[in-house]
Amino acid sequence: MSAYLTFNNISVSRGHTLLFEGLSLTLSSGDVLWIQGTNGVGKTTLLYLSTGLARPDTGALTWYKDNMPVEASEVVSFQGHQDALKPQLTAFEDLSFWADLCEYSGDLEPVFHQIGLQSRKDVLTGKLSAGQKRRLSLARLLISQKPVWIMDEPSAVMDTAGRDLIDHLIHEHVSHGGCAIIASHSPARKLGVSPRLLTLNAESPSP
Amino acid sequence: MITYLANPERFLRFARVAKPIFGVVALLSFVYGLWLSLIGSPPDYQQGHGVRMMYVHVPAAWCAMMAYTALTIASFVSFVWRHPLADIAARSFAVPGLAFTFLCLITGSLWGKPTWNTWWQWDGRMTSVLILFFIYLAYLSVGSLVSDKKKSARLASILAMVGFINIPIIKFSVEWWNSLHQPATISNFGAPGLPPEMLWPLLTMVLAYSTFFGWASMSAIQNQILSERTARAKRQTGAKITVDTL
Amino acid sequence: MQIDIIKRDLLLATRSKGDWVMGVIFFAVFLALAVIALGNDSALLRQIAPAIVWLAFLMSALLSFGQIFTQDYEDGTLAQILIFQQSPLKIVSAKFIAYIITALMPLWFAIPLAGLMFNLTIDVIAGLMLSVLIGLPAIAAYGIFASALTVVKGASGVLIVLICAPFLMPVLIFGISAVDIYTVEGLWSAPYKALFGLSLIACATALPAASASIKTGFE
Repeated sequence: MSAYLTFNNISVSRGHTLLFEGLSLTLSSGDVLWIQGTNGVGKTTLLYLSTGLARPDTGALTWYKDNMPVEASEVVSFQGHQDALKPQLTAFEDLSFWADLCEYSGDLEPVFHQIGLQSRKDVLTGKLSAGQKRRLSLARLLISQKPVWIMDEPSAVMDTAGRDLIDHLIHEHVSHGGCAIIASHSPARKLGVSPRLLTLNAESPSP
Repeated sequence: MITYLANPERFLRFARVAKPIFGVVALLSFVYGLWLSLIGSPPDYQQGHGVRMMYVHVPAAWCAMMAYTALTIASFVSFVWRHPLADIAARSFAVPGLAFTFLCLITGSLWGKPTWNTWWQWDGRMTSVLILFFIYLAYLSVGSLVSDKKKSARLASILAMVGFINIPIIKFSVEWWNSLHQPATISNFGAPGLPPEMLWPLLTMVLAYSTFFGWASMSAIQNQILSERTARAKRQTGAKITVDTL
Repeated sequence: MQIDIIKRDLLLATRSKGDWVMGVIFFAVFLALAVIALGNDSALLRQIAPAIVWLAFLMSALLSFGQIFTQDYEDGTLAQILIFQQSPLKIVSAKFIAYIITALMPLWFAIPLAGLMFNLTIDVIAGLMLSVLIGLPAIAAYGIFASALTVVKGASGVLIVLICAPFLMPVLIFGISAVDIYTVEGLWSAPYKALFGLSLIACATALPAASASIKTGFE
């Protein structure tokens, strides 16, 4: 079991508002970390911290690959609440761009098959439904070949089949040595070897 | 000195002593300098009484550039070491700097009318001081761009550093473009520069402007530190974190 | 990875036909309005044509600065690219090249048309095109910088103009004097060298500053 990401006494504020402090945590292969909490409590900020984009006020995050500290981009892949798709491109063109970017040399056909969009791959992403766009942004996680998946509300607009697909993909990923951090309003599910639930509980409800 | 003052507590203690001194020196030298430049100095053999504008114009130009240089240094420190006091300092230099630049443009224009018979000339130095004015404006508007003060300050510090390129341009513009604007008289000490009866009022005014700059920025830094301290005191406790195994 | 971003931006530009065409149309409209405002004195027009064309070019460019990063920021693409390859300078340099090709080059190719409107000689048109071409990296670099600096706020047109204007004033000054001197002294005259220097300084300072701004925007 190797660690991928450690949080060491992290505190974050937004302006003069302290979001949370004293967060220490280690994520290793096989871990699934669910993050729950009310709106505005700092779930998305925590995800952005994990991607390496945002910086904590104090404390340090460290990412590891083969037990050596590395840049976040070496191990992290992100599914934000935005799908990051270009409406002028077809699903296939869009995914090809990301495949080029993260140097994925494999065939994209099986990926489309995996996310259940094989019949829609030549459709402009602007013409896809919200759930189909979400599936396409899942495919980005698959082709990234990074061990840490960071997901913001992955099942927000998904139908039942879509939710099952997400659970299945996360389970596959985690049982092959990856780990996942998932912010979600839907109930946490037992996926992977050691699922944990992190709850952010604001003392007083923010206005 | 700088590292000593980098601590907000020590800065506040220093400012409590230094600020009144700067204020008094600024006031005294301003009164004395004004008397010298208006009454106590002779008119120029070429420009007549118009030369008196120099005593307000030249120190303003110098202080505008000095303020921008200080702003850039503070921005650099804040950008590289993320020092919160450097952030505050940089912002505090900007408003007096903008005021000096504005004063420099206005007095320059008023001086230009009797001596060159024009309010404005698009020569290198005037254009570059006008550019400095715009850079100050852009700096201040970027500084309040987003509600997150730290982020805005960091973005503004980047702009300040890019804009610093303009300072050497102002400095050398008179040599690069030969135009109406007279070259610097003070810098060439070897050559017959300014006679002492004109140099003294000028230097007194420079002292007045710089101590005023010190006083103004120190008060701004002081206020900012205090208001941030009250904001921090009012800050709510963060969310409680619990981690459970499912 | 830069090449992937450039390729994608070019593809996007060919798919969304309107955007770069609008820039050229604005350029033409600006020139037409200037001619109408200045009257039909062809000698006067020929004399100030370089200034008008430069101004039209700069205005059209200023209008397009806001779009450089906005879309990629708002749909989450910029965050994704940064997470995959945490080198904002690579992204900025790719966007720099893509922006020049998709937005500024169409304008540049429209300059001879402007020459027709003002009845300019081949010499003056050549001088114009060369001076714009040499000043173009500076325009694009400061545009990218202003766009990156304000990306967190969404497209804020007036602020972008305020940020760029101080840096683009020298480019405009030397650009126009370069055209005037081209017919006399050719390409190896002082204004062209100054323009070249400005472009070098712009690339060396504004591009790293843009990448620092992008990174700061997400912090």
